[in-house]
Amino acid sequence: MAKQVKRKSGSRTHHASESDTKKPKLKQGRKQLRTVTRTARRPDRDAENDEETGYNDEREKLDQSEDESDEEKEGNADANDDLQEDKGKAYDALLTLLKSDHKEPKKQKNKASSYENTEEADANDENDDDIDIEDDEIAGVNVALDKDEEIEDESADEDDIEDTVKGLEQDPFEVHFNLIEDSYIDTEEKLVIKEREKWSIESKNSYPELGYSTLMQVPPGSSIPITSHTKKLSIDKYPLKKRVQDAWGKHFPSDFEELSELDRTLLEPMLNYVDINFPYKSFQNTSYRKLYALHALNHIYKTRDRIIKNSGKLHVFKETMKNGGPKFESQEPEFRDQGFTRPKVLILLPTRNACYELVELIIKLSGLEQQENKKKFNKQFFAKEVPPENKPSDFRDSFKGNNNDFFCIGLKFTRKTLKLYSSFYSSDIIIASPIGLSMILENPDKKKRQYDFISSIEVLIVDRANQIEMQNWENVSTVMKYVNKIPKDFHDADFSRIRMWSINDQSKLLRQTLIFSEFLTPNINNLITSKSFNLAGKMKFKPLINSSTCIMNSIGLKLKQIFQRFESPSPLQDPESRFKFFINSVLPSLIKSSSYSNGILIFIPSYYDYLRVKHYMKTSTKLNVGSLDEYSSQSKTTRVRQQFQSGKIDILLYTERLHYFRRFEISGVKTLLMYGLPSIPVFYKELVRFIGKSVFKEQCDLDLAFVKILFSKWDAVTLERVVGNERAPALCNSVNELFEFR
Amino acid sequence: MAVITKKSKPTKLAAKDLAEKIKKNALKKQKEDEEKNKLISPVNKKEKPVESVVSPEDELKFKTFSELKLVPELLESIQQMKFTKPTPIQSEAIPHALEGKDIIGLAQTGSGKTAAFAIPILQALWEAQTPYFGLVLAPTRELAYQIKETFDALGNSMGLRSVCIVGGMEMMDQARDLMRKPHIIVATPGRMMDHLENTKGFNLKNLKFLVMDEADRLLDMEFGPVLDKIFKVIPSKRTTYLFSATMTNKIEKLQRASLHNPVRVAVSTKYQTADNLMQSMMLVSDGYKNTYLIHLLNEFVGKSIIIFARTCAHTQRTSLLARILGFSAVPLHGQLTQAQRLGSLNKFKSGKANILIATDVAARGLDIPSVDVVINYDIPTDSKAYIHRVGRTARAGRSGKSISLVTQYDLEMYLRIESVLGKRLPKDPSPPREILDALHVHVDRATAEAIRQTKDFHEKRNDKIGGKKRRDDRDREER
Repeated sequence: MAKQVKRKSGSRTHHASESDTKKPKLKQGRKQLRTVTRTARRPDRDAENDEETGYNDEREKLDQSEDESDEEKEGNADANDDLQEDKGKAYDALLTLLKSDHKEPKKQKNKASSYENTEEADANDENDDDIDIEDDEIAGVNVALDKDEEIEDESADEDDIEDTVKGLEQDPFEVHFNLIEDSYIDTEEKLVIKEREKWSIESKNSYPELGYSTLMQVPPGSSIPITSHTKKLSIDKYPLKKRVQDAWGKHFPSDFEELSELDRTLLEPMLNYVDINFPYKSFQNTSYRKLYALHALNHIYKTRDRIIKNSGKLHVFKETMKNGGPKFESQEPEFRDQGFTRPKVLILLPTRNACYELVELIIKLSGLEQQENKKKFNKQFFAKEVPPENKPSDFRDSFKGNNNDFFCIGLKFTRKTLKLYSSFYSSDIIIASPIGLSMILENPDKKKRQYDFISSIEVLIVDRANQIEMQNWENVSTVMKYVNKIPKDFHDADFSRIRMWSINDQSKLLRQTLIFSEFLTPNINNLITSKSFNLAGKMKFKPLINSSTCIMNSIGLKLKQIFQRFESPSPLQDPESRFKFFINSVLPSLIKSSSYSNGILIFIPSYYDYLRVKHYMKTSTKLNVGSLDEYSSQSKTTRVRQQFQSGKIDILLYTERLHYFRRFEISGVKTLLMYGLPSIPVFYKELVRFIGKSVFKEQCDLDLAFVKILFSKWDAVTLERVVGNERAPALCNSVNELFEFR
Repeated sequence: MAVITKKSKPTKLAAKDLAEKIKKNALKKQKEDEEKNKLISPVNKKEKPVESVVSPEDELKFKTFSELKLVPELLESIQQMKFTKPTPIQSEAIPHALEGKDIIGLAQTGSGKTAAFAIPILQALWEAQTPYFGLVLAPTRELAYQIKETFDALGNSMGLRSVCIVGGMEMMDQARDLMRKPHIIVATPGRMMDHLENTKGFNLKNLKFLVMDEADRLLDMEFGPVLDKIFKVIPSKRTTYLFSATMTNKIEKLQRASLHNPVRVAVSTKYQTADNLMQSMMLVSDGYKNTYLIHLLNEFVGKSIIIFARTCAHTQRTSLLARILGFSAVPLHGQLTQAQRLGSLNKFKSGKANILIATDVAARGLDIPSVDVVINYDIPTDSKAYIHRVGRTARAGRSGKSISLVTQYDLEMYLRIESVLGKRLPKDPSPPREILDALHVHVDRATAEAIRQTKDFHEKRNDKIGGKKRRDDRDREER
């Protein structure tokens, strides 16, 4: 079976030049597809962009070949019209797409498959064979073994530390992956996995000037020693491959001599293969991306050179044996320097644009002149679109460019070139969206399922985790289930070179996990806290939010904000207690106490809570309620907003996810109730400003309007972001249950 | 001391140079051996090895294991296993083996053959401590597991690592096991070859010992091609042991195993069944076979019984029949998954089920000491199989009984077996007619039901496999 697959997709090559022969056949599919695109909703995906890509593709083809069929031209014009039509509705489309997400799982499959069709067509544009193309579903997918695997005649870079014992002991890469003792891992496995002993806190630091505090946790027993403790100023002082240092110097000369304090604080644990959970606070702080790209490349190069060096030694040994060298006694030397499969670094990103930016960065830092398939990559991953100016800047950053979230691409590094779209099993880095990857891991067609290629991941990076969380965190959990799982098939692995801890299913004890998010959430924390077992330890960064840097301080409105705490016995029962409290005490009093009988906006972070509240309001009360969520249709949204503004609807229910994807400005809000705190801090400000707008329009009075926020002690983390870390504990723990701010 | 040792020299080999090489080695070894051991008679150029027989009553070469110069750890394990006195085959084989000779060992089942080759290997391993030290090939998966258990028990205190590589299990798990550098690999030939071919980075270049248990079976046609391949990739400089209860005389087969000056030790005659075994036969008419069987099961109620049938379908059907009629019976045949096979065997071993209904998969080597009765529901097609089958009972000094159900159609085959055994088996009296008639009604009804269920079983199985050839098929075994 496996063989068959190999042959099938192996025959598919990626040279655009041969593509002309079979084109007419494709057109049909492409056209059908366009209709599908227009009518069907697809998950989390921007229709506009999709059309756009198709359009670009076709135009380019026109340029290339004059003798395109008429049909093709029609199709092109078609696409053009679509484009015009769709321009104005970009976000509406996006919204409709969302609907598929968790409403009806069965339907989603269909949508996903219609989605696949698009991908196929996309791929067809660049690809030659249309026969096997059905296998191709997600941008970048290539699970076959490369047929034209180049012979790697490579020599290792000579620039590194020599193989002296001392040199090796100072290189964190060697210490973490190659010099580690089997017995040490066995003991730790027992402590960490079997007995689940507690991790202890090794150190706590605070860096007020950086606005962070750090917390270092180490595994029970002992952790892998950290080799370099001093934070060095310039990049060439770190134990990095010279290639990446040079590339860094070339592209970021300002950072070469002197890294910023924050970068140094991050880089040191990162290079020592310590887990990091780092909230970057704002989308504008992007310098950490350079660091992890640097780290990933360094890791790839080190592994590669180690393998090449060892292969060389083995070769020399075999030659001497052949030539009748030292007989008998000399045993064949043993080098264990790799995993079951080649990919070592897995990077999860939310959108193709994020992927595009990262790949650009990697290309810069790789120090490689040549890239294969770069053109195809640009076509599939790059788009110029920018969301309209009137949206908040963080939104524009999240959704700019090609914000399609369906991709999984392999990057392979050789001595001179970086190959994009390399087959997964011969890739070094896999960059994927969680949904793209989990569609491969848990393909509805069981025979097509593949997970072996992420069995030997040594560095896992999740960037823009908040954005991923808004897409669907389930997919991340799926990916985590398969990372470092013992593969099913051999994939031509040389077992004599596989590290003992890979064989013994202990790779998860050495995998480094790096998570970068704008702010921390329980899901994100959980990835490091309970899904990572890295023996090097875990470093958690926490932003210092005091009352002057908290979001509440930046509102600039003298508005009454009432924080109401309710008792909740455990996080699990929190939704239940919240609901009870809401219907029993908040809702009745809200109707009475609110100064205005209409213009009440109820903001509900969780979709499930939203459904429950909506159901209750519609069936058990006589209130005049409207509701909007991420699955509402465009026309409904417009209508309901209009009705709310004009007072035809008194109360409006509004979900966080809808706000995330649309960033509406709701008019006519006079009273705001937050059923829970928004997980994205800036939303607090935006929501409160809805009232500000009404005040400005003189629809209500600043002194009569108010905001009420429900919270329990389990909301401490989100609360801290809103009120600052000094007030949060007081709010959570004092006897008082009601707090008023102005 | 009735041992005559002899040298056999390879005569014909396909590849000339290989022959040359082996010859050289053989000559070299001969010289060494002559110096070492003067007991060995001069080179015997006869083609057929001389049958050397020791009877169990003969004086043992050594009386206790402590007389041998074994490492203390090994002795300790031997004592823990309560081996006090060596069995005849052990007493004959171990001293030769400790001298580093190749051995062909013939002994009846249940006579401690496994320990006879395990002890010298472990002794040698103690000196060397290298991975992939010994390979033991066995024809069936169950036997392989059993051999591994013996090795584990004996090697327990010296930190032995062993693996069992048989079909029906995950290749990946086994590849990982192999990479943990086991000292001893116990395997069925098909799966072993699979790993040698497909598990990159795994080889047996450093192999020192090769053992073929139930060697005659292994050297048969069925395993031939695979064995040839294995022999090609393991070093020719090694020690080889062949062990079996029955031995083939075809010299070319033995040459395949490329033994160097093997010492041939045999305990008991060529075809002999244990002395404390009561053998008998029962003439039945074909339509009444099931009724007779159920009658016998009633007679032996509470005893531990193995019933042998010819085909998987018979086995499955008969076990269902017995179960329908309230006996705790488990089937064991090649159409079950490996997990099911192990499950059945364990149930029987632990006494949860007291009746095991099996094909010849279970005929050889299985060591279940508590078996009281063996019933041949179908007469075996060859006489060797008969000896192996009845050898499942009366093991390790206990007494046992075997009954063969012979119908009018089996008569010819049965007579052949008798002629090989060299004696006529006593005929058990038929049960009274009225009892049989009373039973027959119920048995018939149950048989009909059993046939229906067997059909279901096969349909289900076919659905599961879906016509696709399983990987396991490379590791085909006895029926």
